[in-house]
Amino acid sequence: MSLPIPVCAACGEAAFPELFVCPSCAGTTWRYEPVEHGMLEGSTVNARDGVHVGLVRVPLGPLVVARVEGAAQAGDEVALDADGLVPVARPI
Amino acid sequence: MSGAPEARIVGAAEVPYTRHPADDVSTESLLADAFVRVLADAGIERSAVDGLGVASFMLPPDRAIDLAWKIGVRARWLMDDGNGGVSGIQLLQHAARAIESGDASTIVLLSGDHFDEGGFRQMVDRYNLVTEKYLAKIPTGGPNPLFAMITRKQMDERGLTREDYGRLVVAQRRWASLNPGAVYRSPLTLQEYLDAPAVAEPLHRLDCVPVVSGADALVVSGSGDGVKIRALRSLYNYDGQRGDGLRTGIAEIADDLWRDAGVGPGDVDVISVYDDYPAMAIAQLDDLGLVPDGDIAAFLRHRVEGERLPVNTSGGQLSAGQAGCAGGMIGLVEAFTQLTGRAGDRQVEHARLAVVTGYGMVLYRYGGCANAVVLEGP
Repeated sequence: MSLPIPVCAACGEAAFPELFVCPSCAGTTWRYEPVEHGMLEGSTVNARDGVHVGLVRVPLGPLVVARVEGAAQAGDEVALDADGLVPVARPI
Repeated sequence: MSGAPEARIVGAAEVPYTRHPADDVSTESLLADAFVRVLADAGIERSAVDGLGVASFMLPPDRAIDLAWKIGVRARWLMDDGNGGVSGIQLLQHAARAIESGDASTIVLLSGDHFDEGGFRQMVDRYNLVTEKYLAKIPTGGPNPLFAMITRKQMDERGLTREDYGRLVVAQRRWASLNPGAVYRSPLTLQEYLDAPAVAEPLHRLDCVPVVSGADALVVSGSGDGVKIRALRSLYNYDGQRGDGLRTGIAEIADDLWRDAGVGPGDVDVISVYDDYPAMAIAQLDDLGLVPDGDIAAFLRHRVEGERLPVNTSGGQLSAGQAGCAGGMIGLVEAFTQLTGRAGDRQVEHARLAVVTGYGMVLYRYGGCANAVVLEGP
């Protein structure tokens, strides 16, 4: 139950989604760090299909667009997971 | 005295946008229609055209060269640009440089799109690889939820309410009611804006541009009277998607733009900002320096609603819909129309200077592109 976040192997800068060349140091090697939780900074629900979309700030820095499953609100700590490549946030 | 020609915009045209085009309408037929109309507007023969620039999402697998063949243009200069909301100003920038360096003498710029139901869904889900991999499978169903969250953040940070956004939408609709070419012309009340059904809170239906088919066109030439480019600045991938999307790249080019133009934000008579969502139109007005005290709510109430500041005087995309890449040229066409005194009932008196912005290409969470131009009438 975690979301892999790309981190530059040279300088430690985190990015999401993955990049090729690090925006900070121009490094080209990336490793993936599993992140288990983050802070839900914003969310909304598509009226058409009821899909709950959120913005989650992960402790490494990046803001991730996630599918929110369950009743989480902006300001809540959420658990992070991945459905294939798609970030999923759930209430803790 | 230099012998280099100075590029001017000498013609503009718009193929009327429509929600329900005839069965035989296609992206290439709209672009061809825009070509014929803009030659007539500029009063030039096809044989005078020696450059062609095209912006379109749906034209592929065809490109500018295929269109050049089908509309009979023999070109010394050719450019494709599919960068949506910034494509119009980007094409204009390169066309002007081409004319000033002698690569071409008369360039036609075309932008437009036609979407059928399946085509639009595919464009939205495959907008770029990141959308395809990370957003389409959430599913976000397009950019609405992303800009809903940006709008909410702007509301929180700048103390804005839905009524404040409504003032801009209602004002643009009032301009549209004076424009026979606008798609949505019936006057709108603030209450009707507020009562529209929710799309993704805080966005409701009248905050989102409907999908339409249509096309826009410009002629840029090194000879003849026309609208002059006083300044043009661009900035792409300005923050690596590391910000919150509320401050666009316009904020970083505004000082250079106004300095190059030799005027300030208070000196322009006509303003066209890229209005895919009210929050982004407002962000660009702020980034241009039009809200010097930072009080956006007061600006919308007093300047936009009260004094009828000429913002998006065609009605903008919010009253016309978004015809794909044509959204990147609609503001230029309206500025040209105003600066040449041909805007009819919506004509801004003594319009001499206009500022037009481009914004867009959502890389992940918000648009990564911005450009702006200051134009001067003949």
